[in-house]
Amino acid sequence: MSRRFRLAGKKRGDRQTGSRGGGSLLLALFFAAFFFGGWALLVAMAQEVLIPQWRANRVFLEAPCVVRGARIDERVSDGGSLFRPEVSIEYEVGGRKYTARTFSVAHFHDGGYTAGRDAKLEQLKQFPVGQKRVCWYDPERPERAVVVRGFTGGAAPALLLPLSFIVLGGGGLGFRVLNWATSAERRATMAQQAEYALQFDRFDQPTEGTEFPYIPNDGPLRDSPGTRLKYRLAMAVSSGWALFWLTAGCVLWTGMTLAFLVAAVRGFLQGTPDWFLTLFLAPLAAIVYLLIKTTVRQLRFAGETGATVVEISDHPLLPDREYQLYLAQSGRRPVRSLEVLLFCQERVAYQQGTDTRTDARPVFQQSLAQVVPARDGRGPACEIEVRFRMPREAMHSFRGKHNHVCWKLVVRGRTARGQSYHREYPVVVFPTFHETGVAAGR
Amino acid sequence: MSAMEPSFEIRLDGDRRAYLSGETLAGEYRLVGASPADVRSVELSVLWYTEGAGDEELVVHFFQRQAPDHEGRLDASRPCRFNSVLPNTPQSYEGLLVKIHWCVRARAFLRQGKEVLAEQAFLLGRVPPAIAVESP
Repeated sequence: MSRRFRLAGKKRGDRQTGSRGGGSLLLALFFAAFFFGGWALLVAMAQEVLIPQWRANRVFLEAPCVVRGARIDERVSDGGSLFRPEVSIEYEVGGRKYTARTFSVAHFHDGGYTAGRDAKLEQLKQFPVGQKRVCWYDPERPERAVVVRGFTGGAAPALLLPLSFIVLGGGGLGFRVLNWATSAERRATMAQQAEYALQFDRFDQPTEGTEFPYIPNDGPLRDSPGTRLKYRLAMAVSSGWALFWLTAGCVLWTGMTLAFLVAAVRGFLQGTPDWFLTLFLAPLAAIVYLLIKTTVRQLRFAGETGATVVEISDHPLLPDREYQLYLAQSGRRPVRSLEVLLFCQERVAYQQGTDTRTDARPVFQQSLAQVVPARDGRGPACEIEVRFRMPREAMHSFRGKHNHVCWKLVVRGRTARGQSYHREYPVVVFPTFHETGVAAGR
Repeated sequence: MSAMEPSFEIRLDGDRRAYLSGETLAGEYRLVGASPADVRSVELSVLWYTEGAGDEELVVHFFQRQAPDHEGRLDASRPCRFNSVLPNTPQSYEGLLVKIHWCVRARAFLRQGKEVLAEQAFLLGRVPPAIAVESP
């Protein structure tokens, strides 16, 4: 039985190992609780606050009264003292005398307590003892009367709570009910239509609705013309930004440590050494040393290697077609070795609990050129020009929501000091077009 | 002897199992073993879905739905034809982390909350299975 109807199960992404029907039922109950709870709260608020206020303003009848007493009523709660004004009045309805301790409709449900005693005293000044005033009494229950009418300002914002419960619960409940007997395919169709209607021409979106759906848009890759070949490819992640943040972090940390150091030295000079601060400085100084060392090494490395320019004769790439590739490696020192690879990788993302995890696996790798350059002292440290052919039955680039097939050119180099570096240049591969298939159309 | 359980018969024209981009996928389907009064709706989809390490994705390329007539009857036992021009991408793919499967999926909703489901897989394109290589 437990295997057939599991209310709770391990969740990994959209796959639920528990009972789908049970899960839907629980969600429907959850939203129903919000929806009906919201209505219950709204009805309770209406009965306690809104309807009495409306009746006092519209239904209650006016009558002369005499103020017999006025006081501040105090109630002590966990958050401190709360106060409300209270006036004792005498009035006559239909020849019968009534006395009431009242102020506003809040008195009817023993409410109206708020913080701030002085404000209540100000209100009571309008009701001197012995003065003749008017009150408003409930014609259905003449013993209930008020000396102040109007709507309190807190009623409207308080309505937001039950209304939000009703909207959220009703929306969720409606969605569950509509999807109760709807197939995954029908839901996907509806979602796709909605998504397609909202889709704009964005580079980071799959090209659904185009001639080649779910292939990344290669427009940005064709924006930059090359000097030797048709297009200059952009590096996937610029190392310049990483270096900038590393340098900024190093400067910030060093500055903070220096400020602490100045304070510690001043303490020693004044004869009041702060030993805790001095001990605290030791790990800070160690981190500063490591940060400076790493930053200097990276800056020197960046200066040595310089920029890597990669240009290609055409784009997007098609299987079984030949392309020309140009690579120029600049830098102050010559590189020891340089290699260009054509590389394909599968990348996936999946939800595990509340975490989003990723995984990647290479599925194709081909070395296009491998050289050991010799620098002549002028121009780029190294230049490579090579022709290569795309694999005949290569999988095209694919970009789904969670699953990707990515092609890229990878440049691997080693500096004269023996440090290796790695730069990636994404490319887009379109599918094979067999004799009966459609043409590329580009 | 118990009554026969309802099931689908899906047939692709020419019994084909492989197609190229832009070709027309055509065939017919029918639901056998269900009384017309018991069928609430029948759906046919041509779709692709991913399988593997990543979260599953499902995209419907073609969708057809039959609803009961004004008497509440739906005779799904008669063969119903479908055809759809297949897109260029994504092509079927047998990767290491990502697999892309194309299929024709028929689904019937019966009275009392029962469902009948059947699939006919096919290949789009000629991409060979992926093989593992080392990272650069």
